[in-house]
Amino acid sequence: MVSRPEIADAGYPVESAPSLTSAWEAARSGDAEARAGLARLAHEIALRELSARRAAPSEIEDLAQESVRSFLAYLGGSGEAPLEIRAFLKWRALGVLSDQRKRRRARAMEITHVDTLEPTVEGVGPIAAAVAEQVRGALADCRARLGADMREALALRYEGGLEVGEIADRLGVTRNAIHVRTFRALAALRECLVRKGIEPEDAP
Amino acid sequence: MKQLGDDDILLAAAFVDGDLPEPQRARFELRLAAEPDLAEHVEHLLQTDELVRRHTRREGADRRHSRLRLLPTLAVAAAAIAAIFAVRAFLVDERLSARSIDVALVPSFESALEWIARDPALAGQLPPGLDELRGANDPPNVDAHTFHEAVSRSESRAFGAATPAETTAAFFSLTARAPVASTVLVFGFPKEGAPLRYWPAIDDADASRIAAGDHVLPGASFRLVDDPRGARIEYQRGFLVPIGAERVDVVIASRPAVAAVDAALLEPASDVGTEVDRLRAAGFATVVFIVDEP
Repeated sequence: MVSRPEIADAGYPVESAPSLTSAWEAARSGDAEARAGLARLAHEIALRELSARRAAPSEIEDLAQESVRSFLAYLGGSGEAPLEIRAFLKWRALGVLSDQRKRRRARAMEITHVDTLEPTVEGVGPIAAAVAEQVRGALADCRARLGADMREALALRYEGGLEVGEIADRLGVTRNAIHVRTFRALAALRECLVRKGIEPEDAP
Repeated sequence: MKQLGDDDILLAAAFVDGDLPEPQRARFELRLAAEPDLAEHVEHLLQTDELVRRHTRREGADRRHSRLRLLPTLAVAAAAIAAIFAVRAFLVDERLSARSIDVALVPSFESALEWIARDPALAGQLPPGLDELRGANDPPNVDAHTFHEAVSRSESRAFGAATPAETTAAFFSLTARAPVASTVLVFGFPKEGAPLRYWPAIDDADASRIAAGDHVLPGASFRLVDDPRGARIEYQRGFLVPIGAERVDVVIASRPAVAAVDAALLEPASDVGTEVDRLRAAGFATVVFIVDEP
């Protein structure tokens, strides 16, 4: 894990600026304080979002900093300004998290043991374990209700730990077909879980 | 909440899987920030995906098989890092001079396109894999193997390049040529912020031991992946220079891999001087590079 340094010269009053948009414009015009202030905001939002997403604690700071880098790279380019800068920062952070999870899954095929990849719900207390077991049962039931093609894609994705391209190869379909199939399967799973009273965002 | 069209379903799923290369990813994130319905769909997708992953036990045996199958690819990839802007130094220690490793610090970039643009030998090349989402505006203009060969040529030039001790970069990689199996440790000492361990990664202490041969830490910037889907290139940014660090003193230590590393040595010392002293006392040769934050 990297350290958590204060962002240098982060005192630009982004919060009290007429708007974040003006800070964005100032930063793009070369105002170092505005840039630093936005970087600080990006860092704060990334930490919050990554924690909420249960990113591994030892990696949150690394990811937050990567999010800031990613944001600053965009800010330094010529891409259009976001309409909602805070929301954009949130999605930058989540994009970095998705990217990192993909890298970790790919890396696992090379040098790490698969069981260390993602946080699990093992090792919790008895009550939490019972709730987790309840969620697992509901998940199993909901997955069983999916169509065969969706069940197969999810099994390869989760139990098989395969990447999208590998699943596509196994099933003899395109990569995009797997993306669409996964989306529809997870949407159906969510709907089923919610009907059972389980909100995925709140579940252990 | 409105239903999504097929194009947006594809983008949403690719985003969740980390499958969108940077230009498309940024465009999609702009839309997510501006379109609440789209954002809600992606939120739900992320939440459900995370929930299933938390409650899934993977088939370890199958994955270990995959790991072995990919080792040759890893070996090829490790030998293929581009390093045209590299700084280079020899680890010199009288006790180990005959067995010291040759190491170079290679600036890296946020995006693959930036990386490619900085190398005149590669400028403008877009290999398959950097445009994975179908319908990308810029189709590949060079095959993966050709690109990979060009990257290898860059690497060989870097090993003979000049060796400034200080460089400016937001990310960096290390190339290491080890004449014998070696133990390699890499620590960073930011001017602002706490010391950190770059290598081995926190969850993989065993990676400190590298075999004789060429290596890139933490991994090849451009990996050649060749499977039934075809050959393609994947990009990794390398080690991160912490935001606000201003500068980082990067300590690289190596010694022949003849003994296990004391666990205490895996935790960074309080400062560069202490770190170098204790590593040398443990039989490591050391070198220090300075990386300035852009």
